[in-house]
This record gives sequence, structure tokens and C-alpha cells, in this order.
Amino acid sequence: MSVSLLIKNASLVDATHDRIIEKVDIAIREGVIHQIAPRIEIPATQTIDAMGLYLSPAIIDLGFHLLKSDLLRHELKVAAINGFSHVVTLPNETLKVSTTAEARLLFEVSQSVGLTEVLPIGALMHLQPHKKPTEMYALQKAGCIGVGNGTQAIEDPYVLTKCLEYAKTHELTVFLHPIDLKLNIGCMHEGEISTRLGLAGIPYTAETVALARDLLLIEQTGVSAHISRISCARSVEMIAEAKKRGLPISCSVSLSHLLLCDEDLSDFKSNLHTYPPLRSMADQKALQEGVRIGVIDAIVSDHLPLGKEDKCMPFSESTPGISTLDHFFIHALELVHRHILTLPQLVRALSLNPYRILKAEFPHSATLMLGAPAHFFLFSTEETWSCQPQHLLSLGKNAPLLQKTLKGRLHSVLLQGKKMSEGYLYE
Amino acid sequence: MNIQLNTQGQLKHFLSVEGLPASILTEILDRASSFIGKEAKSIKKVPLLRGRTIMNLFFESSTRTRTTFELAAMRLSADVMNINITTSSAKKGESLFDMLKNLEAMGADMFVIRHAASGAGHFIAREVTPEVSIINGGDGRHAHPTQAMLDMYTIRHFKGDFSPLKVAIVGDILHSRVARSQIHALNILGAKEIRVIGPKTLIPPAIEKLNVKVFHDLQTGIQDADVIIMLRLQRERMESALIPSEKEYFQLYGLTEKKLQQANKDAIIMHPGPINRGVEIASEVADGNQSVILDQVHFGIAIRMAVLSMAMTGNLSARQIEAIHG
Repeated sequence: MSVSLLIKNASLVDATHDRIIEKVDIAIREGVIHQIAPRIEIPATQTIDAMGLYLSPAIIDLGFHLLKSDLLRHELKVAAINGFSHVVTLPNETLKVSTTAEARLLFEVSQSVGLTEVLPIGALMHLQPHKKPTEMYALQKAGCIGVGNGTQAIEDPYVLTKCLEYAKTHELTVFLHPIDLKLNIGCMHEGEISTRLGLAGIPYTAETVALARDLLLIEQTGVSAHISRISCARSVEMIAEAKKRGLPISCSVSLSHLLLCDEDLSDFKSNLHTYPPLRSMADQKALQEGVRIGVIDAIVSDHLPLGKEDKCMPFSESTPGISTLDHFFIHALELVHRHILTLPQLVRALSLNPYRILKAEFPHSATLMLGAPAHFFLFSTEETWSCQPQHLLSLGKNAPLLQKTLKGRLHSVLLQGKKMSEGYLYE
Repeated sequence: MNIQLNTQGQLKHFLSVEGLPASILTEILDRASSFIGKEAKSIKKVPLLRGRTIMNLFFESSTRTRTTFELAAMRLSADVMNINITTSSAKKGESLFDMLKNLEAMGADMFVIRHAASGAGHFIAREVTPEVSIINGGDGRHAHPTQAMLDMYTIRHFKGDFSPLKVAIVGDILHSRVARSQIHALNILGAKEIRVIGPKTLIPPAIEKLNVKVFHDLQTGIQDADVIIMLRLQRERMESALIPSEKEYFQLYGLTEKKLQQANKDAIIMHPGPINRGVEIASEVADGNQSVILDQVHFGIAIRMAVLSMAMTGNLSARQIEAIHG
């Protein structure tokens, strides 16, 4: 018996048990995990010596903005090179995913690229010609792993209740991003910085007022819900309290909200115009703590690639959105370097928890179980290197997280045991 | 390093009072002083900017500010062009970026810009035309630095030293770029106490962090004040959810002779203009002997001459250094 790939002497990040297992060998056969043990002596077609490197299961991103097909194809390849095995796509105003045709198209794009897989979220409700739930059963059959409001505010609490009840009927998870339509006016967080800059501020209540409503309706209907991309300390408190009451909820935050706050946009940089807005440093710290103690389950990319025509203008006129895909994991490592999270906590938020939230019927390496597909990446944490323009592969150049010198590096990315390379971009 | 200064610490762009050293602000005031003639209302004509091209780009309508900038540029012997935005390429869908690049290519040394978006000046100076001096004629709610400087000149002219002064700014602080710039200037020049007065709906959040005291009652707020600056309440605020009515606003925050008695006897009354008689200020106060509103206008030309000439010097100096060092 031989295997296709043998990785030797890796430090395995085991998020399930909150530990790192030093000097582990992993054997991969026919694209799945064959064996994990301290010393595996087995013939292998290829061997990787991972001494001094860490091994993590691949990233499952619960917050990837849906893009048009041609752009999506390219970004999926970039995601693959950056260690993402799955991306859950958030619908928006133009790409609603309210019909099975749209869901099937996404499935086809995903299959034809054949690398990072798309798990679409379908629309929660129709607004025209009548306000009602979408055909959730059909959407689920066409490949949607849940339904949600994407980036759009939900105005009518009665219709929202009915949609949640209908989602519960089919045991579908609802992905809700809380926004109050009328309070959501402005382009950055309302606080000292917005006062200094003279920019219209969005108060944190634009999120918490909607969140309060959504949590009460989740409680009433019993639907399973994921609260997506929260941005303030008060929301963290409300989620903690709701979980204590036993509500069937999970919660995520975007990486940029953990690394940045409103003080970082003191010079009106349009690249930091994002939605939800970057809030105060106190909010940033509360979000970091929320991830550390597990009130916030997952970290998402919130990736939205934009071009010069969207960003090269005064702040308030620019389109909100941040491109985070290039070297996403290395940026996330900042949280470990700054002692905000440990490596197992980080991998838990990027891989294990998203997997659990999806209640996936498909197996994944996040569990480190034998027979699961070998979706992994090897990385170093201390290697510093200079990031040049040729290292940026995403079509989005609005990447404010990017530093010129990065600390940490991906060494190999495996999806189903197959090594990812930049060559895929040119196919 | 502040984007407004060149490597020698000289003013090159004038975007915001915030972050500038007191020495630069004082230099602006002193230079303005040198342009004011001996007779009343006279401003000297000097050849300082002969051969230089200044373009006025006003994306928001303005008669007063644009006129004073034009006069200031002419008094400095510069060539001035007013770009009419309403008939411009913006209507044809051209971006701000492309419009300015094209104007730069035509040989502009300096742009005076008024724009509705806060941070427009910073955007242009940093990402569009860093070689051209950018003078902020007002950007959104963020800053109106030349207005703040002429206000400081006025205060210095009538009151001398800033250190014992209690200055009250009254009105719609939330939407006011003038108020923000004045607060920064007063802090940098060392005023004793800065107060803002208005209903909670018109006071920006966390403004105390800018070293100001907040008052919601006018009488208490102007107690013993040495300088009272009234701000205009715009038409659209009267229809918004921010105040109940013009009538109630005037009753509570309009400055009348009677309410003025709370302030110091020799307090000066200022207003950036244009004034709304009977809304934020009563006629008898606007026309009274404590009002220095028209002096502000006169000083405005000299201040703008100071800013234009300093920024042009700083810009030319930066270009020379660039040419030497490459």
C-alpha cells in the first residue's frame, strides 16, 4: 500500500482540542486523510518535509460577497491559492439568488473552476410584486446552504417573521446581517472621528436596533440563525446574552473589524470605506475579545474586489468595500502575533466553527477525521518578506490591510490532496 | 508629516487648520497684517504671484468666498480663472480625478476648491495633483480654514492676546465646517475656553474630545463670553427632524440685545455670513456697535492673500528641492 502524499514533521493546529501537536506526519491517499500519527513510515509518491511549519485545515469563509460570474471565476482561483476550500456567498441587490436558475448558475461556476467551492446563500424574501418568502425548498435543492438578507436592510417585521417560520419549516439556517434602514445613514462610524472629519456618521444603533428585533424573532420562531458581520461592542453583549438564553444562533465578524478601527481612516482614505463601518477602538477590542472567548464563532473575509472607478474619489462618494483575499491568512496571523488569539483559536474561527455552523453534510478536514478530504495548508509564522505588486492576484486593488512587509507565509495549499499553484489562474 | 507642509515645514497646501503648528497660523496672521493698507478698506496690490495661475473650482455655489479669493489673487498679481462647474465636464460624467488632471496639464499652479464632500481637498492633494497647491475653500462639513483664519485675525485685531479669551460658537455645529476649523484654530492659538451652544440635535457626538464645553442653554453659554460667533441655520435644517421650528430656534438660540447682556460688555459679535436676520441673530445685534461682521469680510481678503502667497512659496520651494534631489 502506498499513498500519494506524505507530510512529515508538521506542527498540526488542532482546533477541536485547542492545542498544537508537534512533529506529526499526515498521509494522504486519493485526496482524503489516510492517517495522522507521530511517525508514519509508508511509501509515498511525494513527500513534503514540514519541519518548522504549521499545518492547518483549509479556510471556510462564511462571508464572501457574491460577484458576477467572470469576476467570481477569477476570485475563486485566488481563494484556492490562499487556502480557502469553501466560500459562502452573500447575495446583494443585483445578485439576489432568489431563483433556482441563479443558484444553479453558481453551482456550475463552482464546478467548472473545480477548486474553491461555492456554497450559495439564497434570498430570504421577495419584495416585488408581493412581500413573501422565497421558494426556499427549491433553492435548497438547487444548492443553497441557507437563506439570508445579504447586505439589504429588512423593513417589515411581519414578513420577516413569516420568512423565518418558513425557513424553520425546512430546517434552513438564516444568515442575517442586522441593519436598520432608517438609522443607517452615513458613511463611517458616528463618533469622535466622524466629528473631526465632518463625515456623516452611522450610529451603532443602526445595527443594534435591528439586531434586537432579529433576536426576538429568532427566539419566537426557533429558527437556526447566523448573525453575520457584527461591528460593535453592544452587539457582542447582545449575542452573548442571547446565547445564554439558549437561542440557536452563531455569529461572525470580518477580519478588517478585528485589525482596524475608525482611527485608521483619519486621512479620508477611500480604501477604508467599508460596510459595516469600522467602529471605535473600544468596539474593535470588544470584537477581538468576543472571538477569543467564543461569543463570536467565526472570522470572515468580507471580500469585495473593487476597481479605481469605485474608489478613486472623495471618501463619502466612494463605494464601500475591502479586498482581503490576497494573503488573507497572513493578515489574520496578525491577531496571533499581537497575542489577541492563539493559533488554535484562530483556526477554530476560520475553519472548525464555520464547518459546524454549516451543519454540513459533506466531510471536511476541519474535523481532522480519517477519510475527510485533504484540504490543508502549510505555513510559517515568523518568515518576513516583502509584498510586491506581482504578489497581488485578486482583481481588487482596494486592499488596505496589505503591508509592504508581511510576517508569515503560506508554503503549500492542498485542496483534496492536490497542490494549488498560481498556474491555475492562467487556465 | 502633515500633508500640508513641504519637507522644510513650509505651507504648501492649505486644507485644514488641524495639525498645523502655532507658528504657521501666526505667520498667516502677521502676513495678512502687512497687506492691510493705512486707509479704511484698502488692501495693497503687490507683485508676489505675478506669472502664476490660480484656478477657482467651486463645486458648491458661493459668491462671497469665491469673490474674496478672486480679489486676493488679483491683489497678488496672479492670473485667475474661475472654472464654471455647472457647465463643465462633470455634467458629462467626467470624474473629479480626470477633470483636475486635465486642468493641471493646462498649467495651473494652484487650485482653490470648494466641494460638498468632506475630505475632497485631502483626496486631491494626496492622490490627484500633489504638485499643485490645493487651497480648501470649504469641504463638506470638515473644514473652512481660510474662514477660521480671518476669524482669528478679527479676534486678534479687537482683543489682542488669545490666552484669556472665552469664545462661544452658537448654532448648527453639527453641519458646520467653519465651527470645526475655528475650534482647531482657537486650540492651537491657546484660547482659554471654547464653548459650543445649541440643541443636542445640532451638536456633533464626542465634540468634548476637541477640548470644548457643550451648552444647551444660550444664556448660560454666553455668560462672561469675550467673543460670540453666531452660525447660520440653513433652510434645509428648518424642515428636518433636527429642530421643531424656526420660531422656537430663535426663541432659544437667537441672539438678541437682551440676551447679549449676559456676555461681557465689550464682547465682540461675529458671523461668517451670510446672516439670517431674525433666525440666528436679531437685526439690532447684527447692526449694533459690538458687531464686527463687516470687518471680518475686509480682513478676509488680506488673509487669503497671506495663504495664497505662503502656499505658493512653499510649493515652488518644494519643486526646487525636488529638482535638485530628484
